[in-house]
Amino acid sequence: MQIKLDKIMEASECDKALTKIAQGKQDAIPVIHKYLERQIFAVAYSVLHDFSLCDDVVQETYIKIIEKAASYRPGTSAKAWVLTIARNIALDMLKHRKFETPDENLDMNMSDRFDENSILLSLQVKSALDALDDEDRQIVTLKAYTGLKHSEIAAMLGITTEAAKKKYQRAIARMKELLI
Amino acid sequence: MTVSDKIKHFYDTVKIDGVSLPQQVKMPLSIAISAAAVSVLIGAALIIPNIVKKQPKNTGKKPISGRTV
Repeated sequence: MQIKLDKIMEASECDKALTKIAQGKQDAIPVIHKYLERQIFAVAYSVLHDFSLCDDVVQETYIKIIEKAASYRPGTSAKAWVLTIARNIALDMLKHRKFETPDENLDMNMSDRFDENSILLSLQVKSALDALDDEDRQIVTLKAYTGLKHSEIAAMLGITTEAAKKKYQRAIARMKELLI
Repeated sequence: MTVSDKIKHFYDTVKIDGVSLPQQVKMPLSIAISAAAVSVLIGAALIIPNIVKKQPKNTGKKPISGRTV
């Protein structure tokens, strides 16, 4: 129940913030930062699987939000709108970084407040995510972490809702095998 | 723990740094160009009058006495 209320709150706050930004009030950006920073980061990772580039994607996304806020339609999904921008920025970055080796040093990118078991689990999840193909990794991240609906994911990836559902189920099953 | 929970755990534990809010990050190019242009104009406005009103050098010669014009 609490989680559902949090989600409603998040959607409403982000919607209001985007409307304000569209009116030129850039001081509403911290609201987007508060609710969506980690989700933008996750989308960036699901596309690039390179931690060193994800911070840049988050920052570029904020700049793009300010530039494009006028095209946001209030009352629609603010989160899907923001994450679509983040994904497009990450895809652009991927094109330019195609031949460079990704930064795979997870230890350096783990928050200091977590213990060894947490880090071990994260390493396993990272390996499992990296074993998925690009589209499956994005679908799993968008559904499991950001909580977007299958229809929103389908629109973002240009596939049918049914295809998004099937791919998600298949990818989760594959991850289950890998995480045993 | 479900697979979804493990994915959430992974993304929740990743350290994010180096992200600053747009008030502190680079400004859009058009604004940057305008700001640069304004700086140049202000600089020019301050420097040009000084050049125009520049005093002649002191040559050390005394003015001719009794001369009125």
